[in-house]
Amino acid sequence: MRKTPLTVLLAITGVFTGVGTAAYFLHDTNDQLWSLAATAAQPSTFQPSTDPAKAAAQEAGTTRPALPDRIESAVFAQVANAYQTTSRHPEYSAPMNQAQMNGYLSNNHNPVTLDVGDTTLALSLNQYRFTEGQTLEALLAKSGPAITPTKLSGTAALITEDTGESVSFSEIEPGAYEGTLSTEGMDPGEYDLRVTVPLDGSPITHVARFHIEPHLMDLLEADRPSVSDNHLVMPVDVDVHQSGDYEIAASLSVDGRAVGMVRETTTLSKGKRTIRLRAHGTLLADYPDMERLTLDQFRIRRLPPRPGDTTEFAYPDGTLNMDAPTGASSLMDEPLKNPQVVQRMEFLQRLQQQ
Amino acid sequence: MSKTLTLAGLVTAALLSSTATASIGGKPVVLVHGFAPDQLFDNPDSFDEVKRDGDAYWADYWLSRAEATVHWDSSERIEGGIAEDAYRQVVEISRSGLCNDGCVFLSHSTGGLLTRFLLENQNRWLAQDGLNPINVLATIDLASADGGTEIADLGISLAYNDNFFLSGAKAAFGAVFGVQPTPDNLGVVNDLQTNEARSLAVTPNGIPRLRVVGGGSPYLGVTKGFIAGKDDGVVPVHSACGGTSAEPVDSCVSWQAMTGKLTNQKAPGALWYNHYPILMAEKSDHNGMRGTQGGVTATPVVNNVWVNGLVVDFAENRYEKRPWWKLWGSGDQYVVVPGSESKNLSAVVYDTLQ
Repeated sequence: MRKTPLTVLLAITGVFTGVGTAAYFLHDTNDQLWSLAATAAQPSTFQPSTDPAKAAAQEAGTTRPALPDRIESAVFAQVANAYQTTSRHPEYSAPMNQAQMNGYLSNNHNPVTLDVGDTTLALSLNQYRFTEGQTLEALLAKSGPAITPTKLSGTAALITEDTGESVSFSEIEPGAYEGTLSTEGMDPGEYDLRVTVPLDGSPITHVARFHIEPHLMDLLEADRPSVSDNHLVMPVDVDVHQSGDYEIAASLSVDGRAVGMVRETTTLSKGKRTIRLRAHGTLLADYPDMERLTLDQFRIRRLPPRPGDTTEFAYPDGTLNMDAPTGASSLMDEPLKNPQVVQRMEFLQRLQQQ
Repeated sequence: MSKTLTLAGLVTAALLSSTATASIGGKPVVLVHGFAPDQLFDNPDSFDEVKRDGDAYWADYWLSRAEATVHWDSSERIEGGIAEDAYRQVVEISRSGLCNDGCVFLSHSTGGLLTRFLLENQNRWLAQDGLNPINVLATIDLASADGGTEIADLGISLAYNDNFFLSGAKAAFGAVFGVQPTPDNLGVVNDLQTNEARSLAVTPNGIPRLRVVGGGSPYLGVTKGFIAGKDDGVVPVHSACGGTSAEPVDSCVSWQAMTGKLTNQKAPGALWYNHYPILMAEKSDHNGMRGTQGGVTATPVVNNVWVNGLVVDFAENRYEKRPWWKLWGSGDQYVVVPGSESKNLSAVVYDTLQ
């Protein structure tokens, strides 16, 4: 085919464009180092201390980190600033968003997956820890082309034993199987739910770990809250079945808004007891007009008495609602004075200055 | 009895024989090592062997830069033999006065989970024994597995299977843990399951935990497909960052990739209380992070808007790079730790903190 002048022109243009583009990409100056000075958008709001560490020691929780002059320093300035915010609160009254509280207080079971060729098996439980007597619900989902029967069998056994309780699984929709198990009478311990799945006739065992926990205590009711020593005190009545060192934790909401996690560590003997969960004034000072307090997502742990012992858990159902006490408006934002916190702040600020 | 005395003597020797004088931020460093694969199939005969393995674990970089090491046996469970061994060493540290003026715990991998467990329980146990708690100012957690890893979940199912179609999964597990899993040889792997790790000693405390996170691809990448989201070959980023759920993520923060590129990323919805990612390195392998892998450019986790509305633009640490396919407009912006490309990540951490 004969080339036209237009075709030749386009070809020449293409060659020049290609060479130019290649030269542009290969040229070092394409990676431009920026060289601008650090800028402060609101310098009037910032009062850098000449000695931040000393200032922190004098007034923990109120100092602002000095303006860093290199990026590694900026990292630690940022950390110190964030730590300054949380360290204003005592550990038993920690400000948190709902996602954080879910991480600490929920009893979810993350599904465990197993890839077998081009088929994936996902096994999930309704929760990870079961108080003896609760019902375990398991769901096995198959995705992929492997052919499976309509019924599956499984075993729930202590991880140290080969045999245990049988669990039957039925197909509730294509590729989805459901099985249930009453944990009534099962000993506390660490268990595996082992489900045998014939994939195209070849058996595969998929396993989900769970725990059976002893019956630690019952949650009864909340008493009338009060204000004392810049704390909102929320008494919670419980019936303790097993003596020991306990941590009781819950999420606290004010008028429907999650504000933080409260917890108390205490030694409890058997019988009806009252636990006093405390929210520090610093956590609640922004809510002087609070009306309704809600404790939810209870997590109870019997702590290991000595190294080598295990922690035991309970996640009692129940939401406890309380009317805010009349003195709640007197709660103040008064940062925690704790020498150890001061020392940690000093350390973080020293890292910033390295 | 004699075994106990021998053990205590060895622990004391391990602590007191240390001649290291280096420190972080002027404070002594206590190391908590990670998983030692050999111990799963060849259970240590003595604590002396555990100690040798632990020292070898840190020999490449950190051993000469620390004052003490907490040694533990990977064939044991955390709430079991590991707690007993580790606590004996915690007692020695308390008695030695090493941390009276504060110290830094530096952990790697499973050591991050053990550190969390020790920090939660040491006050109570030491008080029972009439001793002062160790004054921990901060932890530095390298590739922390305290949120578990899906490779451990996989191992539990593989332990009950001998199916050809799972050979790829077995290769991935074997690459990390050095052993073909059986129900009896999983040791601390049991504690590394995502559900288990995320419910072990999980409670907020006042100790800042500084996180260093890798995204490398060791073991020829065979483990990548079995871990949720980005990972360093063993530990998912959701764990190393301190994310409160085991969701697949690509970075610790939503504004910055692990390469340092400033771009939108899928990041954890929330981080554990007082957990602060400080450094990320896209190419840092899980074990290489301890000091054997050089040439990994590190990016500091820092946001321009960082304190009380003050905007600090560390432009001198940014550079712009135009992708080869982008013909016009501005290039991508990156932020990196200057000089990190010529060091290993442990050296970057240490040098940054000196």
